[in-house]
Amino acid sequence: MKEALIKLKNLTYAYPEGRALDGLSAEFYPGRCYVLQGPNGCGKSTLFRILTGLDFASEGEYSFDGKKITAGVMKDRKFAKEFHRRIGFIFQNSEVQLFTGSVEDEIAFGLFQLGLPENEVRMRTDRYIRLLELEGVRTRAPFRLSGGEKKRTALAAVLSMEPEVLILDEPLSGLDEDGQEWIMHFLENAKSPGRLMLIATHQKEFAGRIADEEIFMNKYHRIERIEKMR
Amino acid sequence: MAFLARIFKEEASPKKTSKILPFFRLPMGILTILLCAMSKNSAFAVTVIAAELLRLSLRSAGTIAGVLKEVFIAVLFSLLILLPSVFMGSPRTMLTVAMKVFESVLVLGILNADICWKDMTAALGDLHFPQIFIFTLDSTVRFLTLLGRLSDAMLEAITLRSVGKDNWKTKGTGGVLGTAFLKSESLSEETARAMACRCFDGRYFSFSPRKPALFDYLYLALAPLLAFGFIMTEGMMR
Repeated sequence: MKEALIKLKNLTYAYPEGRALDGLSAEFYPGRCYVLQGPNGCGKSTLFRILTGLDFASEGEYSFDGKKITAGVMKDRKFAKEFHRRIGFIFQNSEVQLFTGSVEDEIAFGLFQLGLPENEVRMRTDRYIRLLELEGVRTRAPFRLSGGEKKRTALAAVLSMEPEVLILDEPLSGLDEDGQEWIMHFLENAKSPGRLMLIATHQKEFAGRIADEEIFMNKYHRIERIEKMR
Repeated sequence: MAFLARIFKEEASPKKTSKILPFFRLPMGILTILLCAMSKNSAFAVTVIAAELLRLSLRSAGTIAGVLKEVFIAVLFSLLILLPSVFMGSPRTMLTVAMKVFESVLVLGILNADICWKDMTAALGDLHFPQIFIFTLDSTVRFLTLLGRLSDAMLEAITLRSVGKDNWKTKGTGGVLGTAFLKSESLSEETARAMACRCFDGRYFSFSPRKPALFDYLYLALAPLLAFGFIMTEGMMR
């Protein structure tokens, strides 16, 4: 078996008003899809923010590819950039994630930050526009799109950077039945041997379809159990 | 809010595809407005207005009505502001300023009718405006629209609860503003996080619609003509 890409050891996160995560320990391997389930407020989104280096654990350890991720480490801009390139994060509310003037600019945004040449950026942008079926809205402002189109734009923007880890916080929330089916089908096909996927959802059917392992969190902000599905 | 909403309305519409690249249209528009503002006589402004109206007449009826509506509102507003100058003994000032306002708003109105916001910011990028300036401009308009939408929804909710003599609408305005402020803070924080996740390091880019063609350069050749017209009309009045 491959080495774990993400390791959590006794991870705890506390807000002034109380704990959001309490002593989480887990290992996540490349090529596997993990689905997090649990009640609202159990700490799924907080865990994702820590995994993406947006917040840092109060206690315990989080290591990514053998390197401990701390606030100090993330101050190294070069490391932070490479880290963010390797981990793609789809926010629950796509509206905050989309900030440029058009869908194509949104997809190209991350690629330009990586310093890719313009022709490569254009090529990848076109490819992901086709893949996510966004041809009809490529020049439209993202915040004027429908919920499903916004979600697909966010996915295209993140996937175009070709991350090794894809984290999705409630990817089906706010979508109609067709939109949910489209995203579920797309994510099933997005599974690949080199990509680690972490998804938070309340939808049991979706979890059953996509998960290699299901992680259940409880209202006490702890991991209750992990079930291997495949 | 209605104005901002209009900026973004139907951006993908085929009506908003300027034949001339925004990269050329934008500086020409700015040049026209500047020259008109600098002109000390009405001959230049009248000539430009005539040319711009001719250009406007080639658009659809809806576009013409939309642009002229904005122009007349702006002119009416400037006439009202400058009305005291008539009583102070300089009625020419009011007419000159109103004419320049007419010309400026007309040029901008036609630009807005022909070019979508995305192409406009792309043109600013091609014109080597600082990327952070364009990003700030884009983000400001985006946030204003999002917060406007939110305030609209909140006001609607308050209106629905405005039953009886108690005027919730007035009382709720402070609450709406406060909530919009708090929401703007959380929105900007979340956006900053989203940008960090996408490796933001200050670079901001917008795709240009296409490469310049011969007619774009022909259009640019109008700039010296415009400058020549300005010098001539200014010289004639001396």
